[in-house]
Amino acid sequence: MVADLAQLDDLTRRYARYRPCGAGLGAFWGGVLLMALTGLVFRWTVTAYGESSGAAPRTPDAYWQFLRSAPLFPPPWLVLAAAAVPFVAWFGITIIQRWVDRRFGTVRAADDRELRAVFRGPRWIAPAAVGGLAAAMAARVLFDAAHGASAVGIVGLLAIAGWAAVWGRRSRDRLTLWVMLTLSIPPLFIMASTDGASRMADATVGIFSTYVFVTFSLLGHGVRRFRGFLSVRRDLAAIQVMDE
Amino acid sequence: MKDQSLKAILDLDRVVHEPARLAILTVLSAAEEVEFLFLLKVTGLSKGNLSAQAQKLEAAGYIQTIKAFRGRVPVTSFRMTDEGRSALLAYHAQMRALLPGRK
Repeated sequence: MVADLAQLDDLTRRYARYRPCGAGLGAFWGGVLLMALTGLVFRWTVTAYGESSGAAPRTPDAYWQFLRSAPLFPPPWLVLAAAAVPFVAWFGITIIQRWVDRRFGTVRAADDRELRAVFRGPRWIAPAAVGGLAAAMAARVLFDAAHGASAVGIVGLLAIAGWAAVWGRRSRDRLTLWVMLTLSIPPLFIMASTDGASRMADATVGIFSTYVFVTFSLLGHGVRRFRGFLSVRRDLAAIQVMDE
Repeated sequence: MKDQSLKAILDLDRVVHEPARLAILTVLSAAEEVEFLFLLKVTGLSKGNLSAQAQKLEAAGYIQTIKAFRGRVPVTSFRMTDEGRSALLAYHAQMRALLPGRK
């Protein structure tokens, strides 16, 4: 039996702190999904640009001008992929978490402060940001009804907002919440782009580029957490059964 | 003075004082909820002993057992009650008083 009570306390707190978000591996999963969706977005816009009949030379500037001016509609496969990303992300994190917990079980942190990696704000900020942005974008698509509101876009926006309420309630861990926020915002732009009159292709490409950078920061947190988890796992594995 | 020390020793909460139960309470005091599997690994107790000690702590009202399912697998977790937290704090205070110079 472990004699040192301080060591027991420390091991428990460290395990509770490093275990969530699949011990940091959830951030990697989120990164993979966002990179895949970013690839699909660039494929869509570059293909559309390639097919445009403009006589202008093919330069990055011309590409950007094309995004700003052309009424681009995302293809159904991209809309489907974007709508699926927040759901696939959460289920992936849940599966990774179960795999992580299989050896030493679950420990929920006593103190919310221990889960405040990434940012120190209250836990509702991330889901509220997704819900707020989704509502604003849905309103914008609706008000564009003169041009023909996109039902698919509105349903997609509301589904992502509703899902944010689910993952926002189920996790207290700020890294998990931030990964879910990062994976929910860019798909909202794709959903809003289904209203061609909105001309949001440039904003969509812009937001994806921004969020790829955010993902690198989350990956840094994921690496730190995973290293902490491996260290606490090593300490736990070293404990011998010394029962009478 | 000696009588007072002896009384203080005799006044120790026996439920908390037993090493296995003290270890369990220490782990539970550091978290909101702890699964049986983690307690087993971190304390190094055998399954039978851990179950028996947990039952004694639950009978004393110091911990609460939570039974749930993860998929189809039953999972047992424990949570410390306010009474258990007070008992552990009181025990720490008593031990500090009995062992001056120790934190």
